[in-house]
Amino acid sequence: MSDALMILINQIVTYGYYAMTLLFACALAWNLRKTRDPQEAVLYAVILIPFILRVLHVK
Amino acid sequence: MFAHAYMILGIVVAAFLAAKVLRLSTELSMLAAAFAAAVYHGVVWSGEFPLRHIVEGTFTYFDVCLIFISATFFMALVKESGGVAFIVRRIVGAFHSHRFICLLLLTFVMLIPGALTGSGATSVLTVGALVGSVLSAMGVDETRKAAAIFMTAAMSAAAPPINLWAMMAAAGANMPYVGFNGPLAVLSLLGALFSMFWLAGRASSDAHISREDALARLPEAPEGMNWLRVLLPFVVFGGLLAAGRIWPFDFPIIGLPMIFMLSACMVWLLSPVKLRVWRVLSDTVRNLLPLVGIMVVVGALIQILALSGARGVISLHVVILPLTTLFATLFIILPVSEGILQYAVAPLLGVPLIMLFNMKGMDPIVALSAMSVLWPLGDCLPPTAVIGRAAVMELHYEGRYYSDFVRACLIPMLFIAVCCTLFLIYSKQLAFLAV
Repeated sequence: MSDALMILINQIVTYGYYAMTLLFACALAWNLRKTRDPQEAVLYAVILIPFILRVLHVK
Repeated sequence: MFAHAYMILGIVVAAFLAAKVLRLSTELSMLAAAFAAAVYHGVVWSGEFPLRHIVEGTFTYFDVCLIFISATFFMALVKESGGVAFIVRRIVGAFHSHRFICLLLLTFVMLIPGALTGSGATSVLTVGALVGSVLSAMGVDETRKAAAIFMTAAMSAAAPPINLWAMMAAAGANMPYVGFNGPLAVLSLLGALFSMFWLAGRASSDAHISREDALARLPEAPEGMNWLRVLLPFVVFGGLLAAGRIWPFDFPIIGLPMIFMLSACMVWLLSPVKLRVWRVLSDTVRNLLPLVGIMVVVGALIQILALSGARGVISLHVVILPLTTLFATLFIILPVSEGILQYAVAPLLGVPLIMLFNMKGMDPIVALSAMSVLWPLGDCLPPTAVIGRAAVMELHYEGRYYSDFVRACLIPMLFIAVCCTLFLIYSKQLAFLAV
C-alpha cells in the first residue's frame, strides 16, 4: 500500500474516532438528561468530561 | 514527604468511608476521596487546587472506555438482531441428547460476549438468561444454574482478547498489552469448563435434556436469520484483528474500538429485523454507567495519588513484601479487593505487584494474567458484587445469596485459585505461553 494512501486511511480512521467519541458523548448526554437519580446524573457529567474535551480537540 | 503521602492515604480512606456512610455509590465515593486528597494536597503542598490533574486523570483509561462501550454495543446489537437466540436454539436442537457437547458449546457461548467486551456483566445480560433456560431444561437446579452462569461470566471477563484488569495494570506499568492471549486463554478456559461441568455436569432431576422443553423456553429467532448473518460480523472482527497483526506495516492501524464499530455496522446491515440503533446505544451506555464511571473516576484518583506521592508509598510497601507471603495470600486478597474496589484494584495493587514480580525475575505477563483471572472471582463479593447480583437478578434466583449461591461457587473458585497460584509460582517456566 502506498504511503499516501496509508496516510489518507489513517486520517479517516482518526476522524472516525472523533465521530465515535461524539456519538458516545451524545448517548451519555441523552441519558444524563433522562435520568432522575442525582447520583447517576453527577456520574454521567463526570464521564462526559473526557469525551467532550476529546471532541473539542482540547485534550 | 512520607508523612504527607501517609496523610493523603488516610484522607482517601476516610473520605471514601464517609461517602459510603452517606450512601454514595462506589464511583462517587472514589471521586469524593480524590477531591478530598486534592484539596489537602493543594492547601498543604502546592498552594493551588490541582484541577488540571483531576481532569488529566479522567483520560487515563479513556481508550479502555471506548473499547468497553463499542464492544458492548456490538454484542447488544447481535442480541437485538436475534443472533444469540439463533445460536443457542441451534445448539440445543443439534446436541440435545449429547450433554457433554451441549455443555461445552454453552460454555463457549457464555465466554464470547465477556471475552470480546471484557465485562462479565455483558455475558450475563446478553446470553445468561438463554443459557440458564437450557440448563434448567437439562435438570440443573436453580442454585447450581445461577452459580454456573456467574462463574462462566466471571471467566469470560478474564478471557482474551479483552481483559480489563490486565489492560489497566499493563497501562499503569508502561507495559504493552501483548502476549497475554495464551496464559489468559488457558486459565479462563480451564476455569470456565471446570465450573460448568462441576456445577451442571450432573442433573438433579431428569438426566436427559428434553429438546421440545428446552426450545420452548427460548425466544424464537427472527425469520430469515441464518449462520451467515450471525457469523459474518464476527468474521469481519477477526479478519480486521488478524490483518493488523499479519501485515503490521501495510495495514492501517484501526484499533479495537473502530473494529468493534465496523463489526456493529455489519450486524446492522445483515440483521433480518429493523434495529433501533439509538435505543440500543443509549441502553448500552446506561448499563455500562457503573463500569465506565469507575474507570474515569479511578483515573482521577490514581493521578492525585501519583501527584502527592501516595502511589509511590503503596508501591514501596508492596515491593518489599516477601514472595512466599504473596503466593500464600494473593488468592484471597485479590478477589476480596475486587469486591471492594472493582476495576480500581488493577492499577492500585496490580501495578506495584507486577513491578515486584518483574524485579524478582518472574515472567510479568504470565504473573499478571494469573492475577487477572483471580480478580473477577471477587465479583460476587460485597460491597459491589456486580456480576453476582446481575446473575441472580437475570435468572430470578430466589435462594439465599451467600449461604446458597456463593457457597455453590466455592469449589470452582478454589480450583481456579489453585491454578492461578501455580501459574504465579511457575510463571518463568510457563513463559512459553506468552507469545
